[in-house]
Amino acid sequence: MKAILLILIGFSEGVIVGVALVAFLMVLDVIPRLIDLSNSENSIFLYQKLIVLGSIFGVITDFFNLTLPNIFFINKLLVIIIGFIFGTFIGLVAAALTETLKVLPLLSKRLGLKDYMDELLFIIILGKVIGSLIYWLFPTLWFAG
Amino acid sequence: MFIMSEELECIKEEIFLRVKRVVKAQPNQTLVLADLAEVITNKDLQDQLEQVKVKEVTKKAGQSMIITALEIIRAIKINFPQAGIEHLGEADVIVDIEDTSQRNLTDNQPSKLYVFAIGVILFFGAAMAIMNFHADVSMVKVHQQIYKLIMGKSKENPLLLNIPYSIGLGFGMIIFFNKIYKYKFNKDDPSPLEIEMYLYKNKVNQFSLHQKTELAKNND
Repeated sequence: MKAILLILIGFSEGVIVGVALVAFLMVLDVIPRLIDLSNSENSIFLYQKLIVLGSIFGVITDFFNLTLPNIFFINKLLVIIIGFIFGTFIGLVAAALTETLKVLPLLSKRLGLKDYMDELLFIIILGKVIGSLIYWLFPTLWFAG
Repeated sequence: MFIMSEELECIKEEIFLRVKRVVKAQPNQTLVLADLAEVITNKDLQDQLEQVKVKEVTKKAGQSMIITALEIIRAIKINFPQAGIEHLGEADVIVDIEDTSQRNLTDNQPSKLYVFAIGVILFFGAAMAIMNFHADVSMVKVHQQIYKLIMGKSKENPLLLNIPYSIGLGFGMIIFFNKIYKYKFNKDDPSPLEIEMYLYKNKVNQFSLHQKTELAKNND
């Protein structure tokens, strides 16, 4: 009896979180922007499948302690490549958030900085990269958590 | 002269009127039709029509006036009583009154110190934002898990994953905005920043039009 309840709760949880994840990706217009940049509208179905597969892979990684076999330098290379891909995705999401996208036009109009928008954008991007680097390089920043 | 007026009576002029949305003007300027709208009519009347006086700017620099299409049509009717007027598009014009001679002196570029201060705020603000984001989503644990998944051993500070991640962060943002320091990659569609600027300007214009229409109604 309790097992059925658990299964039901787990399933509903999954449905809602899944919907939230996809809505999150949609709202920010990240995927449409990428599709636009690469002119690959025909592969939309492929992208959908990949997102679903990726999410399931993420769940498996989260809940089961898997490890890959040790094929020496390929492992390190894989780590670097995946790290870069992670960063790219989060960078896209961070760029699409309101805090970056709407702040700049607002600032430039309010404070009269229209000519400097390119420089300011670059400063924001640089700030984020350096902030991230500092965060990782100094474990004291996150060790307490 | 006699012949001309006969000709005028036979031909019924058709005027097509398309009102502009926002217009800049000097204080005490007399606004003629060409300033406020686009018109198309028979060729011989075009110049005369464009010089029709509509209204004089009575307000001071920094304020705005609203001229409705009806006022424009009334001005046209006074000069061309038999014309048939077709109106296309918006029904109001916002006239922003600026004193351009003054503007060039004071509204120059913001001082370097100002820009520098803004830059500093943005730099540290962005760094803080991303750090807080990481702390918020406990990215530390996720990275440790991923590192363990691929490398087979757990490490408390998986730098090999984190540093490419940080570089990729910048890379992703550059891809999204499609331009870095005036250099565009695809030279094609507008960057999201430009779209946002356009949307924001539109919103501001629409709202101020609405607001001023309300004010004008209350004053009348």
